[in-house]
Amino acid sequence: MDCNESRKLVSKEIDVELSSSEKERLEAHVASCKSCFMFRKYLQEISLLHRSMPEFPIREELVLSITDRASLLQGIGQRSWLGKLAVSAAAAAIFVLGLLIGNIVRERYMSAYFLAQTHSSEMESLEYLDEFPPGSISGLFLASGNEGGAME
Amino acid sequence: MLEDAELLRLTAAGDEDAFRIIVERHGTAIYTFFRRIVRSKEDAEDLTQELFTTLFRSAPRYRPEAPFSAFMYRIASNLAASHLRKISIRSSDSLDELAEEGHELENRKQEERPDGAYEARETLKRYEEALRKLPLDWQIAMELRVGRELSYREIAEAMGKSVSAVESILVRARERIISFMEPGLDHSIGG
Repeated sequence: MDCNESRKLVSKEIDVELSSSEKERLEAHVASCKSCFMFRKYLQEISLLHRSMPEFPIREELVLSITDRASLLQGIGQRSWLGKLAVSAAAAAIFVLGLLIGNIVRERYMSAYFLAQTHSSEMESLEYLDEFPPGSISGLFLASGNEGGAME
Repeated sequence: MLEDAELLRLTAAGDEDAFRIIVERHGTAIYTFFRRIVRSKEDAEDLTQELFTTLFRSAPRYRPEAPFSAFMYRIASNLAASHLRKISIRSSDSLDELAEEGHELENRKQEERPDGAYEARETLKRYEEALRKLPLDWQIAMELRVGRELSYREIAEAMGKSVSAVESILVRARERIISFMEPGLDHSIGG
């Protein structure tokens, strides 16, 4: 084991994350390496220093403020849930109303449309021209023209 | 005593008492975490409030497969990192606020006549300064491991890193601290 690996294991040892086989190998190295022996002492020292840093108790007022805020959020959440439900119900009602109105309008105006379509078809039919075969109208005009010419 | 995961499940179901227990159980640990990382009392209080609000809101998304502590400290680490990106910290904040909390530094008279308590306090001060010089990720890893006693796996989940990356960060952080502090440690451990 080299010193780099030994230092990693010392760090894990301090953090109580060392396996028993790793511990055996570490002990063997540290017993013969003064530098790693000192490193282990330093690490023990700084862990103690870190643990001696003061803890900061949370103020009771802060706890109250946090839980009050949570209650408020809970209330807002419930209100927004009810709000969403109301909006959804209103949207559904508008949709159904729209369908009903659409149906009525369709029935009323579509029948008028179809009537108009039928009428229009009749108007656009050219069947009445069957009584006047091609050339018959111009022939009449020509005939009347000749008659006029004869009068002159 | 109910487990944290169960309390969070109850919180998600609208149980405000369950949430209060979570706040009372972890409030001091979280507040201390923020005090040590951001160092300002007011900011630590704001972040503590923000953390528990986020925890309350995200309770329905919590999956018990992940350790509760990792879930909570992941939020805490992100909040602290985001906060520190926004501000610059005056180096004297920590000591000023320690004094406010009743951890007064030795007065000048005692400085002139050093004793064991003074030496210990000075060593602790040097340790805090050394910690402060570390990259933020390393400070958080040190605090989560030594201060909050999270396992490597929990720290890895909280920081979004692999377990081997956490191991590596902790070794490098400790080596760096020793390199900053060696004269003081030499004195205190007689090395």
